[in-house]
Amino acid sequence: MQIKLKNITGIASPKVEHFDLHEDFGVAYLVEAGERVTLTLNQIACRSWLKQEHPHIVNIKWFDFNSVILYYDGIGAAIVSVANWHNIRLGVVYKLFVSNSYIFVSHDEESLYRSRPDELESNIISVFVRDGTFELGIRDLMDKDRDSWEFSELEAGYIFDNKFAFIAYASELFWVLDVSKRSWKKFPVPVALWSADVLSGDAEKAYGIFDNRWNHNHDRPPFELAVFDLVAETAWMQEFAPVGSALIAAGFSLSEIKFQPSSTGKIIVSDGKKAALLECRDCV
Amino acid sequence: MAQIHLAFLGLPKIDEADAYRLFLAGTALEKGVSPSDLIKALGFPRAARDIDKYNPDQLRVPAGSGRESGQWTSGNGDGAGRTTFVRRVEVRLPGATMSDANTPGIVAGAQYAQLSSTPILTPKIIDHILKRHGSGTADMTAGKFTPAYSTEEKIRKLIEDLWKTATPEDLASFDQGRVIIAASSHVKLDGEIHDDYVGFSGERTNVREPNGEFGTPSVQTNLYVVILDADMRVQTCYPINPLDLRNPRNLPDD
Repeated sequence: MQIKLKNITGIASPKVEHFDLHEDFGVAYLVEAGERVTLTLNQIACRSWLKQEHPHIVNIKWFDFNSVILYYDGIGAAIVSVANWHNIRLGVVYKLFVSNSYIFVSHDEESLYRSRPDELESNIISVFVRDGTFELGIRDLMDKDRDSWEFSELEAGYIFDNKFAFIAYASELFWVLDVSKRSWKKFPVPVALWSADVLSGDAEKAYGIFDNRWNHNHDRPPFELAVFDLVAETAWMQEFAPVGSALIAAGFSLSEIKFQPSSTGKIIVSDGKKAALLECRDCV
Repeated sequence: MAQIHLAFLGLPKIDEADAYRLFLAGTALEKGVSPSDLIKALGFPRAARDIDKYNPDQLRVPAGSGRESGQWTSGNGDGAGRTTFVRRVEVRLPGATMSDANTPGIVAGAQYAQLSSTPILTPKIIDHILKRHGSGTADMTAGKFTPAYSTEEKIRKLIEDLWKTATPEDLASFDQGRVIIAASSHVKLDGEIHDDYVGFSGERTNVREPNGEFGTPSVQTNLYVVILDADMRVQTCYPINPLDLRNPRNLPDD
């Protein structure tokens, strides 16, 4: 297996969880200092505001090379650049991904179960075009597919060719949503999916990382790696050791390691001091 | 306190004609008409059924326990002088339907509970609950169990206790086959009943609530929900804010 760590970047922000790393756009993060919050794109402070003006920002994702999406712990979100702050309505955002054509938003299970059938959150995953116009809720597809009734919450996903590949608790299937065709493909996978933290790949293969450190009640190793073959429609568990070795060799502290998805669903690794994009290739 | 609850209910003001009808209903009850007959006559057959199933012998929280008084309970010895129990909480969810007929594929909880002491609860489900709603979750918007309740044993017990109190009427059929049941947890200590705080509700500071206010902070709570799928497998379980009007909630005292 080939492991690559790309775009290794220093992250010294006090709010280290509020950053995104993109292969082409670089690093974006928010820095809090006193009462002010500053948006920093590639180490350049672009704009700042009083924390009380937008007090509940929970995450940041790259939108294009000079703007980001900020989303709040409620219904708010905004596309923000140096010159513009454009609020958009995406519902309660749990996880968010951006493709060339769409914004994919997942809503958490608590939002789902308190939603009305006509509210965005009842979709579990909602798709918007990039100006924020609602395009598709997977509720329409779920009504016709009982397998998807298992969905309670998105676990992890990634973008390829404007499609969204994902796994969702409590489904034991791997799903690929094609928005333009308003349909999805799915296949069963013989691996335990429910605790996958990140998923990344392309049209042929995907890699999922499981961080089991939160759970002290079972004997699973701290990290696991699963490989999904989208062509053969199967999956298997793979040794995590090569990933761990690559991270250590690059100077990451494994005890502090975190995995998070980028705006396109690439795997970001960070240890509170630096971050990188993790790529796995040629597993077999 | 009762007025506050009534305000939460959002009941409309009544006019003189409505007040007269209420007076007539009260007089009919005083004259010996049974509540179920009266409610049937008024065209509320489901409510009449609820009254019909009233069982004066069922274990109830003693009077004088505030909002909890008179609710149904299930007891569990938890040590000398200390008993924990949960109480059913009626679910009122947007999108939920409360029909006489079960959704296809659904077995009403009480019927199912007669056959099984617990709903289906696998390690996968426990893992999910602990990961998303255990004390270590980093998601500040998620309902979060206290460290004491963030164990497989405690989560199983909460779900099993709730299951024992579930009735078909509690199982509000959500869409796509899911059902939602809710309970509050209590502890009886030296004869006094207290709330048993199982966790914290999530922060939802930017969500506009039905009462027009923006959101609620994370609060300590003894209220929790269990979500089941169409095959009566538990999907998730988490603490919720009792003041969240769009979640399952306690109804005001009668």
